[in-house]
Amino acid sequence: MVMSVEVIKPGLLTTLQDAGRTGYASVGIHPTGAMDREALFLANALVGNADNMAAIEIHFPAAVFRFHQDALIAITGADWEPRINDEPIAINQTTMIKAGSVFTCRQPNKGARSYLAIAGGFDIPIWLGSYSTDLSASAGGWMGRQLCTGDLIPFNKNISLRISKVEPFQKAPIALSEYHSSTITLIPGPEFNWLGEDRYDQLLEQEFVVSPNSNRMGIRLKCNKPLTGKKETMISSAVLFGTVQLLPNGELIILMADHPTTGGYPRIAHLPYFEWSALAQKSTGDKIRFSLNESFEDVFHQNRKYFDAADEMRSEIRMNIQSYLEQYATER
Amino acid sequence: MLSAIDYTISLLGDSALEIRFGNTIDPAIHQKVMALHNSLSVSPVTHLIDIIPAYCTLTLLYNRQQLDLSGLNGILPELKRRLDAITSSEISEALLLHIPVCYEKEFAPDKEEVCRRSGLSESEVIALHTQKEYTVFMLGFLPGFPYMGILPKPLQLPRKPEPNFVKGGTIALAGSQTGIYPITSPGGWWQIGQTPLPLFNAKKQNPSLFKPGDRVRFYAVDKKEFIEIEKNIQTIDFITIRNKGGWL
Repeated sequence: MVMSVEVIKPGLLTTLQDAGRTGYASVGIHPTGAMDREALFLANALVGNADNMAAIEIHFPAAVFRFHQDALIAITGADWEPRINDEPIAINQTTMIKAGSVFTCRQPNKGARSYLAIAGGFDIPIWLGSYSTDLSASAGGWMGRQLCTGDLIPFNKNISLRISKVEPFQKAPIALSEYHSSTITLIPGPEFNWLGEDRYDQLLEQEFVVSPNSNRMGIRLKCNKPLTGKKETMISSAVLFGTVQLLPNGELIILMADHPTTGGYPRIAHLPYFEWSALAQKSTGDKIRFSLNESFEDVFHQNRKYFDAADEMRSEIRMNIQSYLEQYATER
Repeated sequence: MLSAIDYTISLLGDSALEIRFGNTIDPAIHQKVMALHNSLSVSPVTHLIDIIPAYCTLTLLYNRQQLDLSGLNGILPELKRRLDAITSSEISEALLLHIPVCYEKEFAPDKEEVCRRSGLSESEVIALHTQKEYTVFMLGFLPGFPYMGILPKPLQLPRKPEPNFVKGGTIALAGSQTGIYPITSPGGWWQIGQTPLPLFNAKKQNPSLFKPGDRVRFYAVDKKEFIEIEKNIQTIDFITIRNKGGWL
C-alpha cells in the first residue's frame, strides 16, 4: 500500500501515457501517448519531472484515486474542478497532498482530458522504449490496459511533507492562449486536391461538430455538407498524429494518439503541432472551424515559437520547484 | 539490379517526409521502398525517429523540435545520395516464410461465401491461395498485421459489406490483398482460414513475426496438425521461426 495510488473508481478511460512510442511503426505498432502533449509536459514540469514522464490521462466521468503516501501532484488539461478530500484544488498548479488523500473531479466544464502527474513519476515497466499504454497491443503502461478499481499504481518518490493540509502553490503562467480556440489551423495534405474544385469552400466555409464516435484513435467530425471529391480508391500509405482523412461518407477524421500507422483514406490535410492540444481538448458536440495555412515555412515558424514559449514556461516552473521542495519536503 | 529510379520527396504534415516511388501495388515498386528502408535502417540519418514503409511510399518521421525547414533541407542531399545508391546496389534477398494454414470450415467462417462469390470450389480456393509467393508490403492496422499480395485474380473480391468479429490468427482476403489478423479484432476481410502461429507477442523484444519486405508462402494443414503446431509453438520464438524460414 505504501507509495502508491489506489484506483477507487476507474473512470471512463484512464490510462498511463507518456510522449508516445516511436521506432516500431514499421511493424504496425501504434504511437499512442498522451492526446494533449503540452498538458502532459506541463503537469510533469509542475512536479519537477522530465517533460515526457508518464502521467495518468483521465476522461470524464473521472477516476477517483487515493494516495497512500505524501505526494506532490499537478493536474493539467481539462478543468473539471478537481478536489482533494472534497476541497477544491486548481488545475495548472503544484499541490502537496498528505497520505490518505482522495482525488476526485466535480464536473466536466471545459476540455476532454486531464493529466495527473506525480513528483518522481510512476514506477511502471517500460515497453519498447515508452511507458504509454497501447490498448490495441494490450501492452505498455499499467498492465497494457486501462486502470481498474483496486489497482495500486506504485510511484517512485518517497517524500514526507511538513504540512497539515492541502497546500497549493506555484500557479503555472499558462500562456498557451489558443488552448480553447474554436478555429483550428490546418496545412494541406498530399491528397488535398482530391477534394472537388470548391475545396476551399468545402473545408473552410462550414462548421464541423465533434462526433460522439471520437476516441483516442481519432476525432471524428460531422458537417452539414459532406465533403466531396475524387471517388478513386487510394493505395494505403503512412498516416500521422494529426492526419485529416476524408471518409467515404464525406465526413472527416483527424487521427490522434492511438492511430494505426497506415491508412487508405485520402489525407486531405494535417494538423500542425501547435494545434494538437487545442484539438485534443475538444469534446463531443464542440464546434470547430478550420483555417488553412499553405506556407510550410510559416507553420514551422509558428511551431518554433510555440516550442520556445512552452520551454521557457516549463524551465521557469522547474527552477522554482526545487526551492519549494527544500522548504516543505523531506526525501526519504 | 534496379534501373535508375523515379521518386518524389514531399513534406507530410509538419513532421515527416514522404518519398514516393509510384502509384500502383507492384512488387517492383515496393522493392525500391524496401531498399531505401534497409539503407536507412542500417545507417540512420540524424533526427529520424521512425520509418513507415507502405506499398509505394516510405515515410520518414523526424523530431520536429530538432529539425526545422532549413534542417530538413540539410538532410535532403543525404537522402538523395541514398536514393541514387539504390540504383546500383543489389536488393538484399528477402526472407521467405512458410506459414501453415488450416482452411477447414471451423477456421474459415467465410469460405463458403468466398466460393459462392468467386465461383470457385473449396479446393480451388485453397489451391489458388497456396500456389503463390506473396510480398509483405507493409504492417499496419493492428500491431503486426501483414498486408500481403498480390492475390491471384480469381480470389480478388471487394471487401465485405459489414465488418464483423475476427479471431486472432485468421487468414483473410480483400481486393488484391491477403492478411493475417494478429489479434482478435473487428475486420472487413473475408475469413478463409487460420494459422496456429502467433504473429504478435508484446513480451518479445521483436514483437512481430513479420517484417515489411518478407516473402510468404501458405501451405494447408488439417485440424490435427493445427493443434499439434499450436502445442509445439509455445516454446519457440519469432527469431527461431524466421531463421528456419517459417514452419515446415
